[in-house]
Amino acid sequence: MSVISRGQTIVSVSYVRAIRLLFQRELYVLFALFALVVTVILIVVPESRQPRVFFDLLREVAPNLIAVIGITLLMIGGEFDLTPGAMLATVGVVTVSVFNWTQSMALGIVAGLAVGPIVGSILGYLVTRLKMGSLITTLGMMFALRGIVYVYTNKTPIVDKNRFESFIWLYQGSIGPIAVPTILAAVLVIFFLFVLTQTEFGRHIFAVGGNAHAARVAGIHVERVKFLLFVLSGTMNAIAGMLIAAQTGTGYFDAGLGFELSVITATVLGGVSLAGGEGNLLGAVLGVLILGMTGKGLRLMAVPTTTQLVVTGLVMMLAVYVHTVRKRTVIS
Amino acid sequence: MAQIPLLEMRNIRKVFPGVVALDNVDFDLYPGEVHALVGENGAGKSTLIKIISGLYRRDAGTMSIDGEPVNFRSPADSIARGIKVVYQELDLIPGLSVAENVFLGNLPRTRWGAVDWRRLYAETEALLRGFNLEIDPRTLVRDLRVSEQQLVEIARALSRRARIIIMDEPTSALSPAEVNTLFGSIQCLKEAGVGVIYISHKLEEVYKIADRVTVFRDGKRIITCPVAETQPHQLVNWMVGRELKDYFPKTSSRIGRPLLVVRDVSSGRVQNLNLVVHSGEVVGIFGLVGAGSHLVGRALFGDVPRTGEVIIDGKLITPYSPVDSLKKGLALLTENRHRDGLVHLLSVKANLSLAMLDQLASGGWIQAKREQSIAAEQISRLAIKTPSLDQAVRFLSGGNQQKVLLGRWLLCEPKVLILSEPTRGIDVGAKAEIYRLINQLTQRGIGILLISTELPEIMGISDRIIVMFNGRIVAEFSRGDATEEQIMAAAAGVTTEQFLKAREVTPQCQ
Repeated sequence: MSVISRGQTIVSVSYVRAIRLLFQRELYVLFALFALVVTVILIVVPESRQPRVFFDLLREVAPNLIAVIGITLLMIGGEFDLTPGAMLATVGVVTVSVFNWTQSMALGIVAGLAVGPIVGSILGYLVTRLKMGSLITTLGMMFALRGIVYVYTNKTPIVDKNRFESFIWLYQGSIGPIAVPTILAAVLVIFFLFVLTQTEFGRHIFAVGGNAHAARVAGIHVERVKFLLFVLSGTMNAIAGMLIAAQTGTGYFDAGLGFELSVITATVLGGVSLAGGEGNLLGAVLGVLILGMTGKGLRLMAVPTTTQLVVTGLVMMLAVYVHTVRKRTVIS
Repeated sequence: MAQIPLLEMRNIRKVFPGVVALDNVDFDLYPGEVHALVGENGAGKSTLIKIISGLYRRDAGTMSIDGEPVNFRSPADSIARGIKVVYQELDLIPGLSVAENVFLGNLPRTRWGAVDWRRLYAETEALLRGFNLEIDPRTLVRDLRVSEQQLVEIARALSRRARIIIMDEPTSALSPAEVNTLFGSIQCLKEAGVGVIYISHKLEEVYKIADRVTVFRDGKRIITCPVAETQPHQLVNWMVGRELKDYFPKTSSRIGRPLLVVRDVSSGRVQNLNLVVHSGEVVGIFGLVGAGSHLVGRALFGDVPRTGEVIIDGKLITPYSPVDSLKKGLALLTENRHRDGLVHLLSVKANLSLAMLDQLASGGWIQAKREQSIAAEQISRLAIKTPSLDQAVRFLSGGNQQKVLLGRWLLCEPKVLILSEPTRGIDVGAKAEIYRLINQLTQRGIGILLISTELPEIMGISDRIIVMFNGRIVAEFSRGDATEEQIMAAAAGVTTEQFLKAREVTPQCQ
């Protein structure tokens, strides 16, 4: 092993770093797994051999991709959020209700999106100021939000009476061959990829999740970082919820049931440590794609949803196993 | 004393990279005996304990129990032979009852396989009564005082028929009354024929409870003799009796204006602290374990709440705010680099730049090239050995990790740097380098507050030495003014009179 000694200069070019980022060893595993899933599906399901299927997939997973951004950053920062699914329903119901009251699409979207930072701030306050554990706090918030939605809607879907075409476009529309939600997700992923790897805030997230006490001694506002992460997570969930509502123009009370688990599953699959301080947004994105592709393939094969669950679970356990094997070999 | 020792160790040798931790050491322990083991930090006490308890394997020498040679491969082997170490950090389960803890892993069962609660409580009660402890076996461990928890730990050892009990600084967290309870129990252990190895910095305790004492210094056994035949000052002499080596390259630097002024600071057990550190000066704070000296660093820097004033170069610092301390020029190298220094998962570079990211970032975006060059510069200036800037810091050696942390704080350009145990757990070569760096810093006019439990280090590089005992400053010496014995006596809470009286007696012991 070569050792850097005094006087030796270190050549560095930042784009080299960017490329290296893409090919970090953790990601190999996920790329390979993704390729494997795609190959199997291409072979087994003839109907899948057309580009449309893949563009559809990218549209369908866009809400997951967006929610996974918030969760990934939050989990790297050492906290947890179980509200994504309930947020989806809340945001949809709020948005469409405001449509119907005000006849204004802009107001509805603003109101719906505002749910994110508001709920995020409450969670952030509870966790960082009142020192409540994020797992239970967000679990409680998840039930509370879902309950509010049930009470408010009386379990009836809220339909957009104005039939705003441009709202539906948010999910159904395309620019060229690429779906609007896909573009939105891609822009957000790229932006937050840079936030995480290239900014002061990103570095603080890793430090806070890796060793909160050390971060504090190094002059980092640990609580502020975590608070912002909750606000960010809430906002991402709200955007995802907006897309889900735009799918049909309906605020559906049962929207996003189990969504939080599939988002967290993808994040863990992507190599984000449950203990914090470690992880990679690209990995989580690949996690979403792997799970999405698996689900898509199974649906094309007309496998019953019940069986789909089994397969998805197995794929996840396989990925986690590969991760642990890799980690063990690297460390010892 | 019986003829056959419980434990007999001959010519034990243990070498770590760069250090001989134990050099042909002999040690023995008889049934019903309390054998005290004393020596400075790094003298080899804990290495010996770890060999006895099976955590380390000796490189040479023999070890026997009841005259029968043994070769421990793991702590389980040593436990199986009736050896129990009671550490400072207890490994009890707080949410379980005393009885459950005592018999954990060995709970009495009924014929049907369920826990036999009645027998469990009865046996625990009998065990506790055996050494004068009146605790309800149903009490949860978390509701006990620390001293009681320690005793429960000992009871647990006895329930496994432990015959050798090793106590590592058992009184560091205890009040005087609790110490008495503990000593009463040790007396009972002796009567039951158990052998106790007692490690302590506090010499008065050694005189109170031990039968024999062994002094270690620099990995060698200096002497073993009955306590009754020694005097405290002799023990101190044996413990520190070395010339300070020239790896303390103290160069004189110009001592300038006061940079750090501390007025009436109190925090936890630290009471009414007043001190001044000048530009270019190294002020050493010496205290034994439990004296509160480490807390001083945390309280001044703002890692724990405090009262009183801390002034850096004329500016008052907001209490409990590391951010403000760093901004005004006060940095702290904490004594536990793993717990509250390093972010292990991050690279060397990211660990170096962590506390100065705001200066590296323009509009929040880190200037990658500047970070790279600053980290590379720091690596070469401090001679940090790492294969690359992007190496995760957890893979570096202890000395290099410590240099990374030192580098982190230097990048903040502090006016005053508090160094808490800067050389803990690193090898001799790296120590010398750290001392060299401290010298360079004072030459640049930085004021250093050095907090250490290692006397040679304190004496080697401090311009002034402050001694703490029980949360207070008890003595202050100028460089060259104090002998090691004086400092040690002050830190152990022994008065000068006691100390001088002890001196008049001629040594008897061989």
